[in-house]
Amino acid sequence: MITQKKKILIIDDEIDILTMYKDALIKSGFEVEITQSGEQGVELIPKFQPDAILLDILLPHTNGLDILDQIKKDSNGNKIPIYCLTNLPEESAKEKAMKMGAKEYYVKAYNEPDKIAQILAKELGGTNA
Amino acid sequence: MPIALQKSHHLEKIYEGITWAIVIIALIFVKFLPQNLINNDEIFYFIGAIISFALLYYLVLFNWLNKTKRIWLKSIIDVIFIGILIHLIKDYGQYFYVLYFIPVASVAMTLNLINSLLMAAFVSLMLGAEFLINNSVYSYSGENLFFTGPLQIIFLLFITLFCRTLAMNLRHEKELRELAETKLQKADEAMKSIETREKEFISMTSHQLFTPLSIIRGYCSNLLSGHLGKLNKDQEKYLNSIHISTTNMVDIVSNLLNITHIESKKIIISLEPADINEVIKLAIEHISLESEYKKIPIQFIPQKLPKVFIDPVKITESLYNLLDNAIRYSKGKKVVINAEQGKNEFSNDLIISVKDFGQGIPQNEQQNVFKEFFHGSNNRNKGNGLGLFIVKALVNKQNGKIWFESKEGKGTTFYLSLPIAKQ
Repeated sequence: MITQKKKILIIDDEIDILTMYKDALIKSGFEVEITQSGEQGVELIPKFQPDAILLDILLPHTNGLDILDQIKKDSNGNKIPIYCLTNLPEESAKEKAMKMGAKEYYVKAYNEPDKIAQILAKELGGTNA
Repeated sequence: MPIALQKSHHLEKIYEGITWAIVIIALIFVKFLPQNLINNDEIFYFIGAIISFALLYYLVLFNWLNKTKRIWLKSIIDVIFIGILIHLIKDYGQYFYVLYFIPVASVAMTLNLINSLLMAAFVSLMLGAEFLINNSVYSYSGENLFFTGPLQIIFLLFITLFCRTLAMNLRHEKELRELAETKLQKADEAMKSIETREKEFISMTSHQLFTPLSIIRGYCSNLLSGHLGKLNKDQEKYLNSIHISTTNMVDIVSNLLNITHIESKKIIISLEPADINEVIKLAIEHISLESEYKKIPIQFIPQKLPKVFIDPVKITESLYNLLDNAIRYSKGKKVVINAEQGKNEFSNDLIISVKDFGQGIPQNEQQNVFKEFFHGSNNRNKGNGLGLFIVKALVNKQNGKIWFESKEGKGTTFYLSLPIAKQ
């Protein structure tokens, strides 16, 4: 039986962060799409239809929390679990993100790509890993 | 002029105005004195002169003279004024005693209640002494009075000068105190502003450092996972060192951020059920380079234990800090870390202990161990003095407790209690 690969969309302005999380997630059996811009990320949702989104908070132009708000208000995205992945380890930012509907809030410096891949595999299940 | 002094200056004018109003009212009361005094026209000229003088004094002289000169001027005027009154009403001695209180009232108006009462008590004492000497309050007889004629004027001058000098000194002290308080408050505000900027700078710099550190650590972790191909032993060893050092750097930056976040109450805690054995192993792995370099082995025997409800990242950091401390103090001996089920009041907790066999913490320094920037006087290997302060804040935030036992020459054991996760 062929299991459909789970799709992850990563939104982060830092190309190295995108690359390393993408690598780890692909190796764990996910299909991954990446983008450096929050606006592009929002546009990608209906086409790519991700099962989960990894979203940075400190993004240029429109910040991650505004992007989170846009996705949660959109009919295509309001049911997609969004995991904030940021280097802003502040309780107030976390509380804000969780109130706005984020599934979890992870600090990149404390959570290596492998760990995030394991968490997503456990939460979403059904990968080819 | 500082605001406090300006205010006091205005108040002084108001109080002096009230004082003079009282004096004038007292003079008007003279009108109700016995008939033969009222028939004396001098009293009305006198009232007119006083009012004119008061106006001249407050409108012109008050603004020209400095405080000391004003005090002397006021005292001289009071004495002249009182002398004239004594002359006017010398035949009606029982009313005369009221005059003693005129300088007191004029001073009292400028002071607080306690000082005014003290001064009134002083004058009452003097009057009491006089009455006692004469054995009667109302049986006035110029010849029998202790203070009569010129002596009375000298006595009033003495009271007036005494009261005025006291008032001036007390007020001067009060003004100086207010000025010092204002300056202190400003200095305090300036310090707070510097501290805030310092914290903002640390916070911003730490965030900036986190991104490159995350990238180095992330790539190391990807390479070490073997997804990108198998590594040979040397490659793995070197990468491992980079990974551990980067993790240590993340911990240092994290400590800096923790300290600013603890102080500004912004710290993030994500509680979840966690296996304490795994957390301890991770903390030991983080400190392994240091432990190998200093040849201080860390002993840990995992036991089967229930999961604890903690933030694994923060407890790893806390244990790393405790192990780092133990290694610093250990003087070449081993460090033992242990986890076990708590007893009695800790029956719902696991107790983790970190024991070193070093020189211990001197008795007189033990109460400061969890304070910021604490360094043991017998510790030559100084850290940043933040570790235990952060550990305590982190553990308390996770419903845990931290304490220690220490004996000089024998070593120190730190204990953590962490709540067991509910099934």
